[in-house]
Amino acid sequence: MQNESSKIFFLLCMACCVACMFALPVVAQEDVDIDALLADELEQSELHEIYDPLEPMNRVFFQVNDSLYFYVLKPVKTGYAAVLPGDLRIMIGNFFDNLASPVWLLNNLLQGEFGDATDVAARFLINSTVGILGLGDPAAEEFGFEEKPADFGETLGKWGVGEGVYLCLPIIGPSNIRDTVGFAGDTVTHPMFWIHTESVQTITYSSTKKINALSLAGDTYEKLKKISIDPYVATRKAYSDFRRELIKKEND
Amino acid sequence: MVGIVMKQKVWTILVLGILLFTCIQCYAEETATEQLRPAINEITHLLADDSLQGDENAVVRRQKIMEIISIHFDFRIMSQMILRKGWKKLTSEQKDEFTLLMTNLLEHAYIGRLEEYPGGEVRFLDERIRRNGSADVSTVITFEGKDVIVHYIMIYLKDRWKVYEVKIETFSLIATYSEQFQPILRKKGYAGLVEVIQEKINYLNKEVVE
Repeated sequence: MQNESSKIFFLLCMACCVACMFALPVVAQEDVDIDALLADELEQSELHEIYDPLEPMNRVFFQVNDSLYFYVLKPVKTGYAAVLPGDLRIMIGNFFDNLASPVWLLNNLLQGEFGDATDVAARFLINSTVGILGLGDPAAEEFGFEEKPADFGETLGKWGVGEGVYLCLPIIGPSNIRDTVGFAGDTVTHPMFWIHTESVQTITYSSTKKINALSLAGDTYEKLKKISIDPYVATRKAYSDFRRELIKKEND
Repeated sequence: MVGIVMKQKVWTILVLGILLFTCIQCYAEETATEQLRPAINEITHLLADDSLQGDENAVVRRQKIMEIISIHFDFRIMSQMILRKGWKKLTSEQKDEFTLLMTNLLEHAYIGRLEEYPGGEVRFLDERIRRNGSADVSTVITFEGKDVIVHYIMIYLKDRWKVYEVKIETFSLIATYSEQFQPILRKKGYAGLVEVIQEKINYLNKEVVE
């Protein structure tokens, strides 16, 4: 009996040894060289450097925008969100998006994104009619045509135009030379530019659009600022990475 | 009769041995995604847990999440990546000190962002091994109809995959802090950098407690 137990024990040990022999080489994979990893990341970060020779001026405008946000925009958007229900604000946002369709259509065409351009055109036709002047979004909800926004700064980027000097513009916020030119291009191709309105109406339109967008976007800026040691640098980095990724994606 | 029983025992042991071998083999061959998935699911459950909701439970909630994160994240490598060339100039005590500071800061930055999506459903999209041997595990968190892509960049250290970088959409934790720290390090040196990070952590801790 004791002999049997010894055999059982021996066989069990053998089974364990075989298992470990086969398993261990996989467990003990070679560690990745940290220096190589660091060198690779460093190379990436150097490729992603942001050219900001106007930093002192940009910081002043950043501070102005920061104050504008906390003392004007935030209280207004809070009041706005309290008065207008979320669904209504989404409808207003849909209306503004629908108005921007010509800009999106043009830039998708200029970028050679013909599929996206077709979607934008289809969305405009459906939402302007069935969606009652763009307030609703049946194009996405019923027909599966998702939003395909595109701007002129992105188009220029796709054409190979560099971003140039980083800028922090008053009211508008983070940008660069290329995106500022793009912003001007988007402004003149927007239907509102061609509708002759009083300056008061134009300001009301722009302010409502901005406040409505802010009320729907949440407090992204506040959250970024909260976890940042230098909010100016963090915002600059977040903006540049976002734009570069967008253009890179367009080019892939 | 004794011979038959003996043979049965031998076969049982052999089968058990094969099973044991298979289990060990499975564990050994776990991919980055397979190691990360249970941790992320656990964090998602904690964020959705009704008993842990609200600001009043923030401290307990974060403690529980940090217990999971500390197993799967390597804050030392993260710190090294953030400081870049500056890391090698530090003494080993300074390296430990900086790693601890970054652990606290990244806790606020990472968990703070995750807390924006309570109950969000996490799906694992794919895993890609990068040129430098690290793994890029991409996930998508869906919250209120919106998809947010989160990349976990992982490195294989000794016996498991560890996260050393998190990218939420285009927002990279390493790149964002590295970009902010480099000028401070140049102007104020290591002591100056530690001071501003500590100030920020104190502010964030106070906010969580309040």
